[in-house]
Amino acid sequence: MLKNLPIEDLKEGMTFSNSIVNKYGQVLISSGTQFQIRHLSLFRTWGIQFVSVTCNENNTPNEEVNSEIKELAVEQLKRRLLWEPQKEVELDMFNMAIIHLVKRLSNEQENNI
Amino acid sequence: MTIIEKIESGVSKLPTLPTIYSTLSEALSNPRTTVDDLAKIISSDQASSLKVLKVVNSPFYGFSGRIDTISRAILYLGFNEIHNIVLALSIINLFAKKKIIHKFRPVEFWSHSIGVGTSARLIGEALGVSKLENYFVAGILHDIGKLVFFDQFPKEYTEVLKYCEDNKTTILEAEKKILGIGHDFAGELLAAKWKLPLSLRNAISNHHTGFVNGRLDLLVTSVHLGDIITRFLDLGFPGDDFVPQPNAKVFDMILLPSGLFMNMKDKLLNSYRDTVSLLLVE
Repeated sequence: MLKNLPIEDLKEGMTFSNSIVNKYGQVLISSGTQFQIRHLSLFRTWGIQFVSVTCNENNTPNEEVNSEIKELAVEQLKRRLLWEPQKEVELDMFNMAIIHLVKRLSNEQENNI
Repeated sequence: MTIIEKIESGVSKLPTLPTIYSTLSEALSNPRTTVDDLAKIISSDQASSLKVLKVVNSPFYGFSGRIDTISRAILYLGFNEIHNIVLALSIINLFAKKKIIHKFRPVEFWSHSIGVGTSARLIGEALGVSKLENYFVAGILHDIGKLVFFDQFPKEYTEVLKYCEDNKTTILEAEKKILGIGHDFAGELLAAKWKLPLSLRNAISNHHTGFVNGRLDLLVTSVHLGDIITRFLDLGFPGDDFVPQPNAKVFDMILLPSGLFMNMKDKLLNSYRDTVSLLLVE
């Protein structure tokens, strides 16, 4: 899965899908290289905040959730929206909020047990 | 007295900004001012200088505890960023300990504003803006018009807050219905009283559209989207529970990286939590 991630969210084993270049266009890291922690200082030196990487099943965060909680989250969020997300960017915002809400509801449920 | 005259009179009764901010503004307008001069002004107010150091050492700026003096903070972050941090801290302090009216609590109001400041800065970064020094403070200040109502018209504002709940509307619509004007306009008046820079005044008066006089302005657009993201994530309380639709014209004019918000979420939430605990927890 291809993702554009903030450098803080990178995990070892993710593969750069594009070459990383500095502001002069010089290649710092070639595409296909696997991310290593030491790359972070290079990104910070050149002010690189986001990079495009390919994630595999070992380094994609596990976001499997209880479907009942997800349904509840969707219902709660839709009640607060007076419109229907349709554009890709609106759906991106909506999905981000659902993941956050699912986590909050799951924590609440765990605390109640 | 018309509603605008009433609001103008309310704005005139609000406090002026602390001396430290006006002294700094004056010093910054003098081309002969040195880093040491500015450091002396900030350091003369011990409470402010401690908070400035806490903020510049927060993970938000990425220096993680390495900045131990105000002079160094100015060298690393620049005059304007430090000036903006002092401005944000000054305004938060002016209104931090006000009473709760209805469900509107100052701490929750500022938490929402910090969420908008944090998101606006991250959105600006994603848009490739190189000078981000106004983004955080613009988000912090975007809703200051609500403080005019909150402070000077508590009775009427309670009615506005109740109207939102009863009629499922945003606070902006309720303000226009009950008071005749919105917090965007009241904020513009307060920003003028405080002589805030034009970029911040634009963000305060146009954060509901993302445009300034029909022209795209990346700072204003970032605050507009930051406000919506913060409402989506339910961070703090801006006066109503609703998430307004982003201005569709914004997406015709800027290209956001695909999956930006999903990818930004964790960083945003971490920065938000750190900043809230730095600025709002005594």
